[in-house]
Parts: sequence; C-alpha cells; structure tokens
Amino acid sequence: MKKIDVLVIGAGLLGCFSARALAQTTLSTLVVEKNNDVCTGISKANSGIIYAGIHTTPDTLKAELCVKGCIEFDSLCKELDVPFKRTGSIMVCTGKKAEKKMLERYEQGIRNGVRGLKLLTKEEVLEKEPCLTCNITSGLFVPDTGTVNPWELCIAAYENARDNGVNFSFNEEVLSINRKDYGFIVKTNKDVYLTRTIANCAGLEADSIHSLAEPSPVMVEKNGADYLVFDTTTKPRPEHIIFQENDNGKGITLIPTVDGNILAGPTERPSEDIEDFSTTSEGLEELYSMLNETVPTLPLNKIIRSFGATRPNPYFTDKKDKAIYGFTVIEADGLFSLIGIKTPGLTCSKGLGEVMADKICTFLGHVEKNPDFYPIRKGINPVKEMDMTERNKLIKKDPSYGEIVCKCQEITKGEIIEAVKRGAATPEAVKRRTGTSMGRCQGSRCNHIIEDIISEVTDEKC
Amino acid sequence: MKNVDILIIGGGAAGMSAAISACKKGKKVILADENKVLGGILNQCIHTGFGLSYFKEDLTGVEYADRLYTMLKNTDAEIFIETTVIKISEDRSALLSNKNGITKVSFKHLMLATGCIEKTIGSLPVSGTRPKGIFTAGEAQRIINIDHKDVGDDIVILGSGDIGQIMARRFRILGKNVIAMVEINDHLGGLKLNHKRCIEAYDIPYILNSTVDEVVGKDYIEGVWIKNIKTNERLLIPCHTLITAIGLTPDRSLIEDFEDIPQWITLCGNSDYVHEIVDAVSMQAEEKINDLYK
Repeated sequence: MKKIDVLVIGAGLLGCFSARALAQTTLSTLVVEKNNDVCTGISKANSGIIYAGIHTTPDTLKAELCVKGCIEFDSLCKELDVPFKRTGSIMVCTGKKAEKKMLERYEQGIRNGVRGLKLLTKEEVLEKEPCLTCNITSGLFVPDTGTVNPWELCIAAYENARDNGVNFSFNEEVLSINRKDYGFIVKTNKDVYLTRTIANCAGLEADSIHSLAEPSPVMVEKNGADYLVFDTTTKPRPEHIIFQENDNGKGITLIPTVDGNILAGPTERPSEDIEDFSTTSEGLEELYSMLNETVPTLPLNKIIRSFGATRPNPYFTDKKDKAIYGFTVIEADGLFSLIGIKTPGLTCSKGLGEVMADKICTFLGHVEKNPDFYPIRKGINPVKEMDMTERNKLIKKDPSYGEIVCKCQEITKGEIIEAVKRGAATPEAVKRRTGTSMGRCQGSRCNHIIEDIISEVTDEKC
Repeated sequence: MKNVDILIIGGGAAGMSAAISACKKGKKVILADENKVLGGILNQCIHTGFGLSYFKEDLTGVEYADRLYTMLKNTDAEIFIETTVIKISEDRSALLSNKNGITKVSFKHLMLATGCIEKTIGSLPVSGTRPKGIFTAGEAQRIINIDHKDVGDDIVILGSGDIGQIMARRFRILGKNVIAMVEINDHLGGLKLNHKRCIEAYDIPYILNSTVDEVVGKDYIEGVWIKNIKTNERLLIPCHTLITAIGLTPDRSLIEDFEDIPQWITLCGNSDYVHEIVDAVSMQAEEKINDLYK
C-alpha cells in the first residue's frame, strides 16, 4: 500500500490546478485520472471564455475569484506559456427587457470592480462589430473579457505540476474510499493507497466520488449544450466575444478563439449522460436559426464541426428545489470536494486550485513550502509563428520541423514529435497539444500520418 | 532564392500536366508537391476508368499518374517533393518548407493545382457523438489502398457520388459488409459508368431521399439514425463504420488572404472546379498553359 499526503481525483482543470498549487508545498501528491489523458471530461468542451465578472453576484467567492482570475490571466498564461487573447466582449441587446438585464449586469460589474465597462449605443456597437444585424438596440462593452483554449491551459498546468514533482497516473479509476482514523484507504483498478487527504476534482462525477466515502450533501444534475465551430478562414468575423441578450432570454454567444476559429453557441437542454458530449438535432437547428438572425453574414459553409458539452447544475440534497449558485468546497474531515463547478470555472481554475490547496494545508497543519517550486512552463513553440530565419535555423538543427503534417493548421512533424514525447499517446492527445486536425479537413488528411509518428516515437523509447 | 517563369503547386494530374506543357513551351518550371511520390489522389485510385479520352486507354489511377510522371521526368522541370508551400506573397514569391529548410521562390506566374478537399461530417447538421470509426471516403481509400490498413466492417456510406460508389465496391471486394449507401437526392449521384461497375455489379443496397441525422456510440460508432427527408421517418441502422462521401470543395487555402485572385495566379484542375474525370483535368491544364504562353 502506497502512503501519500494528498490524492487528487480527476485531471481536468480543477485537478491540474489543485495539483499545481499543491506542488508549491512539500506534500506528496498523486493525481489519478480514469481516462488516458488530462482534460477529457467537462474541461474539454466549453466556451473557453475568461469572464471579467459582470455575470457574478457581488460579495461571493465566485465573484472574487472571477474578477481576480480574469485580471491575473495574462500573467498566468505568461508563466504557463499558453496563448490568451483579451478580445473584450460586447453584450448586445435587442429589446427593452434585454436592456434592463444589461443595466443590471453593468451595475453588478461595477460593484465587482470590473474595469473599463462602457455602455454603447446601437451605432457604437455596429462600429465595433459591423457583422452584426441592425435590430440591436444597445450594448455593453467589457474590455477585460478574454479567451483561452481550455485544453492548452489544462495541459500546461498538468505539465508544470508534474515537472514540480506531482505524480499523475492515467487510466486509473477510483473504486472505493474507506475512511479510517488516520485518513482514507482508496482502492483503484490499479492500486491501493493510504492517503491523509483527498482532493475530489472529479468534475461531473464529483458527487458520486464523494458518495463513495459518505453521503454527498450536494448532487449534480446535468445540462447539455451544443456548439458550432467555424473554420479559421471565415470572413467576416467578429473581433470581440459577443453575448446576445434578447427579450425572451439569452441569445447566441460568438467567440473568436485564440486558435482563429469562431465558436457559436451554446444551447441549453437537459442531459442524462455524464460522458455523452453528444449534440441534438433541436440544438443544432436552434443554433443555425440564431446565426441566421444575428449574424447572417457569417458563412454557414465554413462550419467544420459541432460539439456537445455537459455542464453541472448542483443542488443541496436536503432541499432539492434550491439550486446552488456559488462555488463551494465541501469539507468533510480530510475529504475536500469541488462539486458542480460551472461557469466561470475556467476563469477561476487557478483560484479554485489554490483554495483547495489552502484548505488541505490548513487541515493538515504545519505544511512547508516547496523551495524548489518553479512556476514557469514552456509550451511547444508553434513553428508557424516563427520568423523565417529562426524557422530555417530550427529546420537545419532538426529537419522534422520542415515537414508539414497538418496542412490546414500548418503544424510540423517536429511539433507532433514533441507532443508525443510530452506524453500524447493518441491523435486526440496530439490534437489537444498542437492543434492538429482542427482545420477544415478535421484530420481526414493527416490522422494516418500522426498515428505513424506516435508509433515511431514510442518505438524509439522502448 | 530561386527564379522561375512558373511555380506550380501540387503534383497531381493538373500540376504534372501543366508542368509538362510549360516545359514544352521552354519555360522554367518549379513543381512543388507535399508527398514523396507525385500523382496526388491518383495514387490511391487502384481501379480503372482513367485515361479513356486522354490516353485512349482504360488505365488505373496509379498507371495514369505514372504515364504523366514518365513524361515529366524527361523535361527540365525542377521538382520539389515532400515540400509544402507555406506562404504566397504579393511580390510574386512563395516560401517552400521541407526537410532542408525554407526556400524562397520568385516567379512570374503561379499555378495553383492543389486539388480539392473533402467535406467532413462536421460540416453537416448531424447530431449525436463523434466517435471513432468515421472516415471520409478519400481517407478510407488511402488507408486501405496505400497504407494497407483497415477501417472496420459493417459499413454505412453517406453520399452516393463517384468516390462513395467506388469505395462501396472496394469494401465488397475486400469481403466487407456494406449495409447501405444513403443518398439525400431521389437518385444516385456519380457517373453512369461507376453506377454500372459498382452499384449494379456488386449489388450495393441504397436508400434514397435520406440522410444521416444522428450518430450513436461513445468511443466507437455503434450506429446511425437515417432520416427520410420527405417523410421525416427515422430508422436506426447499427454499423461499425461510417464513410462520408458528401462532396468536394476546391482547396484554395493558400490564396485565401487575397481579396481578389491576382492576374498572376491561375487555378487549375480541381482547385479551379471539381472535374468529373481526370482526363478533363489534364486537358484543362494544357489549355491553361497554352492560354498563358500564346
């Protein structure tokens, strides 16, 4: 039986950022993930928006983490070498009721300390975003809103935590948790652990994981959402994140991503299956018709993919009708659970990881800092963005950087080899690390080459 | 840095035919292609039906490519294999990337012979999941005929154009179960020749007026819901592979940054428009070169 201080369950955004925060201590930490890679659950499919904080109720942990998280996102992404674009967002209204909502958001934003908010007239909105239709009545500009690729962020946090001594184990599923006087005995499909504490970051399954130890005070209902993805060559394209607000509720959200695509979505509907990630016909139809109304200039033939997302709606088990709005860490004597973390979970992922680590340290007492913790992580340098002299030099050193494998996104064999050496074992994992097969051919031209590269590199290792 | 009269991007039927013609005119030519072997998609076409009008013979795609390559070898065209053009600039130059580094090529004229790109299932409003086991027809053709790997059995084919029909036959020859070909129109697409040689000769079942509405399966595909677009009736077909043959779009990604295509760029072959037969591509390439160097 292995003895550890902290067992983190789940290697999504919260698991990886908890691990990174724990890496700053001398605690022995192990992360177990039941899938074969990080960021395969709820973290992988979402809008990728970094919220400035106009959507969150003031004086809550959520509002505090969101505003702070957003402001500090540049420095976080610099440390972790993750592309981040502060595009700014515009909430656009199409009626009186929507405007009332917008003003509420505006005041809420001011109270939360969101910077640079500006109410816009219809003309000002159209000047900023000529691709929108003219039934807009007004808008709210939020300069601090940004966008990040959640995969890249999660992988970066994972690699940085790993490089600082946290162990990760994949394809490892927790089967049982037994509380003892000195901690927990946790059985997985691979091993048995004796751990002093548990950081439960199991995303949509966090309630079931908590229930393995004791009845969970919070349970989660699931909602599904559909998104459409436009190719990077789409023109005209919105420059800001657009939140449409109609009199009958939320309209479409458009996100110009860091990778150059445009996301359109989400719809919202009930979903039963936690690992579903499927889309519905109704949802897709709804998106198509919303696009037609709001941005008829966006060419629908540039849609390259649709995807489904699942999001949690947590509620207290003792009062089922009362949905939980805020972020809470359930503390149960050494078992710490983040259950039902939803938007703006991505913005707050670092903050929530730190809250988790703080609570664990307080519980254990006398935890020392890790003097060797190094917060900097280097990503895979995108060859496409290098200048030609630099690029030529790299190719002379390693010819594989001259071979372009993913034609749509201009990604070289060298970058793919790097991704595999960093642990990517499937074309999906390579995609999440390099952006391959995210263009219009969706991997139909290069997946077979990527599979070959994966076997070549893993063969070399053996 | 290299200077040429014409830079031809893409070494399939269009690019090779154009290079041969341009060399005949005494022009200095560079031909750049991404693959090790010239021929493009022809190299994965091991079936016959090529060359009937251009070479007056019934050839396989591979043989057709080989004929062109033999002619090309006897010219002075400079050939760059395993080379990708990464940028085309207004000053009539291009950057080529390969294992040896980045090469700049200046040209008087550029010919884009980059072929076409297959539409994928993502471009259709098909709901459900995106599990493993979904391939485009061209991708499946490559995996089977060039890589000698497999795409699975119990196959549904969405779309009944030529490449869909040819793959249906290929699967049958390999002993696979083609459950159905699904076509949204009230008649099958593709050439009459393929209809006879593939659908009729191999007794491929097909469903008209229908499309795939939803994909079922978590990690691997387990089935597809077919919807009749006239009656809206839905039918679940269990399957292990879905092949999409839903159309081709000219691949002009390299020149997408130009508002209008400049006079010094010529589109040729399937990057101009999707041709029905390769013979027409070769003839168009010759004509375009003749027009250019009258």
